[in-house]
Amino acid sequence: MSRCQSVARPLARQLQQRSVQQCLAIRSFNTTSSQLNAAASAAPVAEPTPLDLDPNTVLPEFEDALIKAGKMPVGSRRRRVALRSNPNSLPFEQLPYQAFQEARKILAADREQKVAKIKEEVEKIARVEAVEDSQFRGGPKMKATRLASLRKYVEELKIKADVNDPIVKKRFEDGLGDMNKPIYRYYAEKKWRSYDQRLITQRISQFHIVPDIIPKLVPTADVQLYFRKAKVAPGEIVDSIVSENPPRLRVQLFNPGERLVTVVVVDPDVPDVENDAFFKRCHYIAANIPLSPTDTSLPLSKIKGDDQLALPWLPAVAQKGSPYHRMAIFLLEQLPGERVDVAKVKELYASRDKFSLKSFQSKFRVRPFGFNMFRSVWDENTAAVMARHGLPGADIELRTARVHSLKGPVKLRGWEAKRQGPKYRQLWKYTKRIRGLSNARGWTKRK
Amino acid sequence: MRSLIAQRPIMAALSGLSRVCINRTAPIGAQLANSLVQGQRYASVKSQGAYKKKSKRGIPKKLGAKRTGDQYVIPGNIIYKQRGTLWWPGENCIMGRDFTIHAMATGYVKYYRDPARHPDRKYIGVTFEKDDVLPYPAHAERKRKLGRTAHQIRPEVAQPEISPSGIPFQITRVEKGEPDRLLRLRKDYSYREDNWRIGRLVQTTGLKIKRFRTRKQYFRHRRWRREREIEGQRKAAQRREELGDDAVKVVKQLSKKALKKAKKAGRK
Repeated sequence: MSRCQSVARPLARQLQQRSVQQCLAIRSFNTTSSQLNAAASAAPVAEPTPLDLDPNTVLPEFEDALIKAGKMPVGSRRRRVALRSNPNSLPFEQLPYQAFQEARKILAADREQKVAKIKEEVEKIARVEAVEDSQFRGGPKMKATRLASLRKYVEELKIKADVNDPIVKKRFEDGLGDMNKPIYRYYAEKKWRSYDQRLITQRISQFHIVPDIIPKLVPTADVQLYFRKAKVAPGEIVDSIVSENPPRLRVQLFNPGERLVTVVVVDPDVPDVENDAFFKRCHYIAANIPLSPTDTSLPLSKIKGDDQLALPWLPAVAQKGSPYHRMAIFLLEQLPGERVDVAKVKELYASRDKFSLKSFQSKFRVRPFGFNMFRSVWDENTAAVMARHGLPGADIELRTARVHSLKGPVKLRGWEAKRQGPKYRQLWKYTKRIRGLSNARGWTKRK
Repeated sequence: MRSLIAQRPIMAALSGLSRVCINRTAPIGAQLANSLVQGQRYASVKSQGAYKKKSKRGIPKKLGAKRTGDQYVIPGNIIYKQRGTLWWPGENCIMGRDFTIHAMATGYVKYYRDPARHPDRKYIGVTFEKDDVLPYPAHAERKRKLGRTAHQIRPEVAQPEISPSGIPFQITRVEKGEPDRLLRLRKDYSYREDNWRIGRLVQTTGLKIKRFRTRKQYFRHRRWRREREIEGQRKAAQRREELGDDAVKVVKQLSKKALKKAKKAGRK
């Protein structure tokens, strides 16, 4: 750096800084968000305006109140702020861009085509149904196959009619989709399969849920786990004080209709010290819970009915020194129109130990369709939780069993070991450190 | 001279060459080629057996099976030593860094194949029962052992806070911008931090000492880098092919010195 540069540089830097600050000042004039945020932080509790009661335009500080009132905020915070600043903007579908409007026309024409096709197919189904079984070519079996394939095609067309509609896509992404309609279920399933389904399948295989608890499990519904309002990732280790109370499940079904569901929570890692093995313990059973694609919330603590709750929640605890406990949560679908006899479940599984999901499945004719899990280890709160719920074993610690070498004991070697006998009495004060037995501080070998 | 020739076959060949040179009857070039091709050695050399001597035996690597089928093993026992993966670790076994197969449970060694897992790998496993057959059926529950014993937890004995001399057993040094340090009273009445706590201070600095945390990570990185290089070379070759031979202008990397030299030559 030349002399004049070295003189000029600090000056130039100051000038630059000033210009940046000026720019910032100018920007803060224009933007609404930073100004509003600053105002909110200065005055902690402001009165909510009517815009703050609308989920489309609510500000971050009023989100909680709105959620408590049962309305979820829509879209991103950035979008909500943008909508506030420009309330009279055109709706999305009326945006005045020629190419956009032309594209919309093409999509609308395609939809018309699909709807016409659906009408045609429905008429065809009616015609096939009108034909008597014996009159149908190929017999009743062929008729049933034909009807099934036609219905499947209609379902496909229903999705194809709406799949290109940007408004439908936007409504789904805002969480406003009606899960009674096939297109929103289609989008939800696609989203689930893109990540969560893969994750849960991986957890099933890597935690050996499949051979250990049941021989086969293919999840077909999205099950999310929440403890104390916080989402828990599948397989996460949960503090015992957090998992003391039952979790809330968020279940999203992807096929239409209401059905009855059984929830079972199993711990396959209960240590059995006498037999040097593990056994399974059932932590929760509830049956006859109605579920449909539209109602997703399933709080286990709210299930109290006499014909629903069979075994109340037993906190997930792991004894000190035991390997982590896998807490597997299964959702099992009951046969349509069939109810599980809860009194019988209570009687059979009064002792929760040595539980077998496989036998439960065959006894009550249920089929697993949803899965999630968490893990539990010994932590500083476990002893208190065990005491509160009267669970034994808080004062017992499991230590790794020593496996002794197959080789016999080795004769002690070395100068000092050789001079232990009475012959070397005069050397005893020097022969204290024997490898494996003692060191300078004294005798180390445990008796 | 003789002994030297005996020890070194090449020297012997050279000496053969020198003799050929003395013989003037045949053309020198042909003689040279003959002696090189045929590897002439004379009786005096052969009688010493220099070229027949085999190299000395190397150090034995002692590879192979250390435990046979159905033999009893305990955790950590070496079952098989090998170069590469002749055998793979199966049930209750792990493979060490040098492909050695170790037992991870007490039980009986089984050598087996598992076509469901891999069509042509051979596995070594350890079963808890001698009669068990590996592989286990695919959908059967895993066989596991707890391998732990129960002991009473000893209640913690409360330590007094003040030593008999009236000073505390431990004090906390709080310094701004630094993690709190726990200093404990020593036998010589000085306060000093525990050595293991000093060791943990490194973690608070956020320093990254090694680029790779584990050896395995490094090898994986090396493997991936190699794959990337091969991929890049393949793509470059493809591009060259597309452009044709004439389009490619090979720019040879030259050192600074060579560049300077070339410049100088050009100027002349």
